[in-house]
Amino acid sequence: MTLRPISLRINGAEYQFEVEPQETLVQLLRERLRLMRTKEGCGVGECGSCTVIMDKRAVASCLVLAVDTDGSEIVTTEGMCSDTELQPMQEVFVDHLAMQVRVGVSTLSARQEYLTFCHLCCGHCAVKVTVADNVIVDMTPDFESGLSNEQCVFKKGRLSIPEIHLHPDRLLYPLKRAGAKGEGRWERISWDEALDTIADKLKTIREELGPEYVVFGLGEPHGLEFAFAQRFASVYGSPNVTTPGWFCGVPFQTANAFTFGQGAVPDEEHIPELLVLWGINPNHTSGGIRRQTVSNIVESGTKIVVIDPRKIDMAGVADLWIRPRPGTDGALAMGLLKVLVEEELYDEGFVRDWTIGFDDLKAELATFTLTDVAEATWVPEEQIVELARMIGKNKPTCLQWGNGIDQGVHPFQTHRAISILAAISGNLNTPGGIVLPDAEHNYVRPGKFYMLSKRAPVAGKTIGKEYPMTIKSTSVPSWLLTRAILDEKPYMPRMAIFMLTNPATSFINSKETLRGPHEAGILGRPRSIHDSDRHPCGHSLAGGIRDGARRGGLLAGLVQRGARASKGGRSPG
Amino acid sequence: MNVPAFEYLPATSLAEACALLAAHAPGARVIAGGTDLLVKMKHRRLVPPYLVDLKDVPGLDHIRHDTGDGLRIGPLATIESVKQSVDVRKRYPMLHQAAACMATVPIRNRATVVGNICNGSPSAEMAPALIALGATAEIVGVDGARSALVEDFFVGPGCTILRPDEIVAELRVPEPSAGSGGIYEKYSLRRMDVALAGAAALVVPDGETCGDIRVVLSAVAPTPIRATAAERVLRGQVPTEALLAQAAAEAAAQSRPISDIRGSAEMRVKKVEELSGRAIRGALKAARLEVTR
Repeated sequence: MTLRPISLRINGAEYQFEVEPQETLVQLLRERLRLMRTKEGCGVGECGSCTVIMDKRAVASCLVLAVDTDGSEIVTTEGMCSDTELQPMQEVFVDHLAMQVRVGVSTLSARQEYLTFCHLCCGHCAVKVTVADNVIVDMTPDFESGLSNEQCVFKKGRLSIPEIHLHPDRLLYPLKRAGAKGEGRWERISWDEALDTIADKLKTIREELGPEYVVFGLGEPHGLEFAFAQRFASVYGSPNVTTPGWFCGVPFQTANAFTFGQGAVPDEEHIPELLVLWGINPNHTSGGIRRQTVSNIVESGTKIVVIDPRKIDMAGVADLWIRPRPGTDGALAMGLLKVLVEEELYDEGFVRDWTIGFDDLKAELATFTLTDVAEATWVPEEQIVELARMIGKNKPTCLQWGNGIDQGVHPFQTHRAISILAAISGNLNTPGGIVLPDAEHNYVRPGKFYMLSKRAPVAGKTIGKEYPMTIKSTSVPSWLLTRAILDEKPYMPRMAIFMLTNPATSFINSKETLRGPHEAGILGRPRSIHDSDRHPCGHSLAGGIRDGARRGGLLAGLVQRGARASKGGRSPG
Repeated sequence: MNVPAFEYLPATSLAEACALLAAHAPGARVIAGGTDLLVKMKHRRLVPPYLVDLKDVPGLDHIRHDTGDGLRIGPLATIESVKQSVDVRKRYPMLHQAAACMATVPIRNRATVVGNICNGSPSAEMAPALIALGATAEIVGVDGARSALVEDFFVGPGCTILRPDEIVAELRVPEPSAGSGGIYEKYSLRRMDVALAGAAALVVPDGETCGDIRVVLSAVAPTPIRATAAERVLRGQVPTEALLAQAAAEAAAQSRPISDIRGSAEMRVKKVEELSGRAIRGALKAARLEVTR
């Protein structure tokens, strides 16, 4: 394909490029100049996130060929903003209260500001909420808090939270099914009736069958739900708690713990020489590394490596993009270790002082060749060598790996191999690498609060006890729960309480999952009434409040009912 | 999203562009604004091996009005520039309306009026107004030039009368008849979205009567169509509420919409009745004709 020379001005600077005819302006801006604030959203000119100014006119840069920009003047948002003051556009936004959700709900003087945090993801960014007449009218990141802060509250929070809070279908009180399952008819019941109904059922099942016949299903925690639910389960005596941890974080954290003795996080205070993003796109989703840090790293000119079969947006700006065959990340990690060890690029001091079994690793690495790795992973040998050398020679290297690996095959062993790679290349607990947080001060250790060890649940009755490490590290594997319900092996649970999760979408094999609870006749608790008809369980809905404290309150209420039901014994919760 | 690879052929004159198209027929396509073409290419609905770019050809972005001659729109004139043209706004308000409700500013800044027609979409936003105004397309090809009414330009979805080597060199819109009034009405989920149904009406008054009338529908048939039955109801008549309702019903009856992800055929038929009724009423008012009871 013939390359064509173009010369253009971008944000006031002159550039010359040789471009392929099919290259778009957004690709040029992002991939050649790392001007990441111009995003390719829809790619077809509808969403507006790729808008740039071309010769004084706004254009959709995803639908402009780079060859057509020859001689043009381009301005991107980078060219419009400064770190120190508001730009005319921003001032106009401020003047007109633009981007606010419900301008005119009440006068400005009747507004109150509250400092809180965002519940949308587990990042829990500090947020300032503006309330007028008990209605949320605006949300902004709380920059003054000094805490970590993503910018998504501007869009996601401002536009979605007030809508959810005021949505007519939002669950504000308990509902009990009034018609047949799936009919969507519900009647309002009091909190007392809801708690009594659930507590009675819990009590009956525990007395007649045993506590293990009640299953607790948890989803993405927005607050302390896991702690409360786990505590409730252990107080009740059921060992059967299932969470989505098996495909979100637990294999990674467990591997970290097995390899380092504890979890490790990226050091965001120092810019690394090399950033390796493995099965993770921190520019789109949250993870160990915040978007602001990613922006800083990108702008600083740090080398970037992306390991992902798909061309995620970070792959476009990467110095090296490796596309492994899905599911072969473990083999790739072993290949990298082989080069690192055999070319002696590892950190000798670290290996001498802080590792055990290095010779075993060496022997293991000698059992295969790089050709084997290339065949298994579809990654060319020279790329494996190149990446290993980059990791060995660029200090510090920050390795970030994410759910892309958790959701693949053998995630635990894969994470261990990558953990070893990060450690022996000398990038563990070094500025700019990954660091081990001070466990005493930075981490709340809720283990005692969970009370699993003190109040041992019914011994030997855990579903999936043949997977002791999984049970220990996260929860009952969800597919075993489905099998238990369908095959009655080892026994069929009679009741389940699902919090913040819809098993139909979060368990493996939705079809079977949907079959299971129908046959078992199980209690559930979806997030909104819309969910309830799709929710496989849905006998009654106890509230739908997007607030961790209230959910905790529900469980505390249940504990008290349980205690009262068992003739006034002191609540163990 | 990636654009599939193609060979880029910049032309410096219309004749050269036609020659390039002929030399690489039938795979070569013309690119002007690219806002339709590149979307089709990204979705792999169209993978042309060659693109002939007109943007280096000088003098193609004109919008010129001369009294007596009418309006001339060059193939690189963008929809935004047509929207902002004072001549268009003053003399062809219907065209201004169509341009103003088409997509978003960033799209209109690249998309061309001629490209909108050449894309051959049944929902071409500019088509109803151009057809109602009696516009012609001046076409050039390797074998010479020809001229065709925009009304006869469309053959089917994505298909026009253009031969592989031909280019629309100009759109000509005649001077509107004295006292005439025209309105374009569009229905879409959001203003910027593609029309689910569109209706343009142009009325030329003759005393108290509706001397001539054109009603054009878009997005409700394989091509933009004249609602001739609706026109017959009102032509030469003193407009009344009953005739207006009858004309709108005839327009709906003549539409042949499809059901797709945006809406059902039934809904579109209803919308045609509503839109054409509104467009005709608006056109009558603009032509200062009273609708009697």
